[in-house]
Amino acid sequence: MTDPLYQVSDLTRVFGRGGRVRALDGVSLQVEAGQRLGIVGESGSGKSTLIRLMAALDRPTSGSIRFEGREITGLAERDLGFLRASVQPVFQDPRSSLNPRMTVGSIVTEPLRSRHLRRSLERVDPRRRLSEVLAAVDLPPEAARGYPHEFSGGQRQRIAIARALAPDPRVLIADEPVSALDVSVRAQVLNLLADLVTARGLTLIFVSHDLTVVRHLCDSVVVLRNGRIEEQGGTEEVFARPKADYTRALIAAVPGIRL
Amino acid sequence: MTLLEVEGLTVSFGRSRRVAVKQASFTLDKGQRLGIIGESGSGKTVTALALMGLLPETAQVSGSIRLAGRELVGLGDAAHAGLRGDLLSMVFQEPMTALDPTMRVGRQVAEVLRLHAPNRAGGARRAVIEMLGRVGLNDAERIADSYPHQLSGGQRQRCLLAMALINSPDLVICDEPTTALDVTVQARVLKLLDEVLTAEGAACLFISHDLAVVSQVCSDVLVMLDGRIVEAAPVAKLFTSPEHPYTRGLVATARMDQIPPGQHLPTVEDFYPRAEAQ
Amino acid sequence: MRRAGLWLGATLVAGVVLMAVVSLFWTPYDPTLVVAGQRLQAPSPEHWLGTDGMGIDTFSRILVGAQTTVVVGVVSVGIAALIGVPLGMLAGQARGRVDETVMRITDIAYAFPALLLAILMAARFGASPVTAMTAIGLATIPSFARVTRAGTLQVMGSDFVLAARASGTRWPGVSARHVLPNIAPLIGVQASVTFALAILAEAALSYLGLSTAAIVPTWGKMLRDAQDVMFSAPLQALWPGLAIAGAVLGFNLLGDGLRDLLDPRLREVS
Repeated sequence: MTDPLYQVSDLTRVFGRGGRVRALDGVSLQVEAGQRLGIVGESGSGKSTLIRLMAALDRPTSGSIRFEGREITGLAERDLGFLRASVQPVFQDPRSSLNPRMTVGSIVTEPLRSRHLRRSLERVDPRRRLSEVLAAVDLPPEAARGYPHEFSGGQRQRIAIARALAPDPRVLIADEPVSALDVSVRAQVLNLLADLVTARGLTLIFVSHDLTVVRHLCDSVVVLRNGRIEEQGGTEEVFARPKADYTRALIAAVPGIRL
Repeated sequence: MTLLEVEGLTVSFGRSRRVAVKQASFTLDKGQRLGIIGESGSGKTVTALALMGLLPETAQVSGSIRLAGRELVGLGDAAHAGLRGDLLSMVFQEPMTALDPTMRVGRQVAEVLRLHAPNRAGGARRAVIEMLGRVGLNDAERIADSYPHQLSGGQRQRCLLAMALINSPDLVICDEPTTALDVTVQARVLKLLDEVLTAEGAACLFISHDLAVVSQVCSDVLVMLDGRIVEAAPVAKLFTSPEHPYTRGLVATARMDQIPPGQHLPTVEDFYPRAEAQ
Repeated sequence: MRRAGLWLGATLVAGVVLMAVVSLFWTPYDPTLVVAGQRLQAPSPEHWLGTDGMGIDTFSRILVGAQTTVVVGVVSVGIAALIGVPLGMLAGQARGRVDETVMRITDIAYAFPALLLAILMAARFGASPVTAMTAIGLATIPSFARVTRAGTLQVMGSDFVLAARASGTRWPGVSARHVLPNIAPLIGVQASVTFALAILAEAALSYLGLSTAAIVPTWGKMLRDAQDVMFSAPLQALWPGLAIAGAVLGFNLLGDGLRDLLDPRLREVS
């Protein structure tokens, strides 16, 4: 039996003096390769904290995270190259996730310029990879010369996805990637994500407060509340037969069409 | 009875004459709830700001806006300010930035009251507590004495609603009031808005990019695209038989729950191809 | 029309720099040659601003005085920035105890007035433009450090820095590629405003006789000399005063104008 891709055990993250804020409180979960996991929660649920820990962008107070069988929680930055090459984030706000003073080309190829990432990557020509990933997100090659402010919100999210794809990762961690976009623009980005994940056999960890999106995109879901898991399981199962009251409240709150 | 008549409203900015709103025309009856749906840059917020007289100095406004028979275009700021908070009020998107972080919330609500109804100043605190209670804040006394950062997003938004309603305005303009809120909080605030508007008999102009949200509160909808109104219809008709291809695209993207998982979601471009890719 | 401040500031600054550069090669008269019979003449076609108490053409002295002004400004700002900016970036990126330590030290330095430092240094090392520049530079380090730290904190809190870390960029790369380019405008504004302060400080120092040797003209010293002949030739005080005021105004307007130029670009009305 193969190890799960991610094994998170009893993960806790506490902030502030005297542990005032328990952002995560004993969370345990597993992610298999190729899975599309949705992490659902409202503000204060700890979902953003969880994925930052999984992407090694923060250190937990206690608990363990094993990626590809290796423990990552105590590792120094210089030993995290293997994780960084395999796990890439896409953030929520297209206005602040791209350096306004860098060209799109530099932004997208930044992962390729990191020396300690390169040790884990095979030799790759940055220019060729750049045109590859830009094409993959339906952006023209000329886009590389532009600056973020010249693009719309939807386009900027696609640039962020291109950056995430640059090191050819195994896992894409998306933190509310469409929440800051207009409803009518979300479909394009979501379709793109779905296609990329399928075509490249990626594992997707998708954080959102929007149940409809999670239901559409993910095959399994974890419901977080106040740093704890309320419920988890296959998407259809959780939505059709929610066990926790909180899950039921979330489902009921989604604005349907009222004629 | 017509409350608001907008005719040929055109707003442009700066020397480059960038046109944000082109020839917008619509009417609003007393107590009617009209939604304006559109994407960022469609001109919906600029329209709201034009009604409120809150556009920057670089804006050039032409056309006509008649509120209760009074022409608002060309009205000086002092006169317009007299109407704001009284005859018409606005609820903004970001509750944190719309509230003064250094002032207790009760005082901010009282300020709106005192500006337009100075003779009620004696009973101001009572009126404020009562209003906060009506917007669903049970611990009204404590909330009135709190600072914005001590309250949750939903509580802050309810305070903004209280400020907008305290002088019983005829028209309340809401600009994406629930976009920044969690989905359970959003549901409660929308329900509250519906109830309070009915109770006060106030008309509402509800601006959003989310059709589902608009349908919770409004009976009629305007669709804005690149500064123009491309369709106007009752909510039911908009969903069942939209006319403009862009509207059809919007309606299709609003019903994500109807698409089986794994299938491609419909995009606006499937119905209304646009010159530049979004 | 709204950029009037920026343009006016830029013009004044350009004027000062121009005066300094031109006077390196040419002045109407020798600014150090004493001419006995021409003392305290009123402005005339031969001497546009008149002559001073030693018969030297005032206009030439103003031109040469601009050199000191510019050099002192550049060196002071240079010292303050070269030390203050890295300190601020270090504090903003390292956070925790390093941040606390750096900030407490700059707070203490901040409390120490530049002029007092200059006087102390002049007493120890002798009065010269070098002591003046060094003193002003050292005294301005804290304000650069503070502004840099604030800007750095803002950048470090943004998602694109998080993304950079996820891309494997280590902290030198983050500093160079992400922090520095985004705080550069902030530093530019601070430099302009500091330049104005440096000019004022130097003028005060040379007025007090702590900045230059006797005969070399600086605007502050010219004010001092004019004070002696205030009743016979009051105009002699006007010219250096105007020059100082104009230069300070110019740099302040330039700084303000740059700040306004940068702000709207970051805000979007949708």
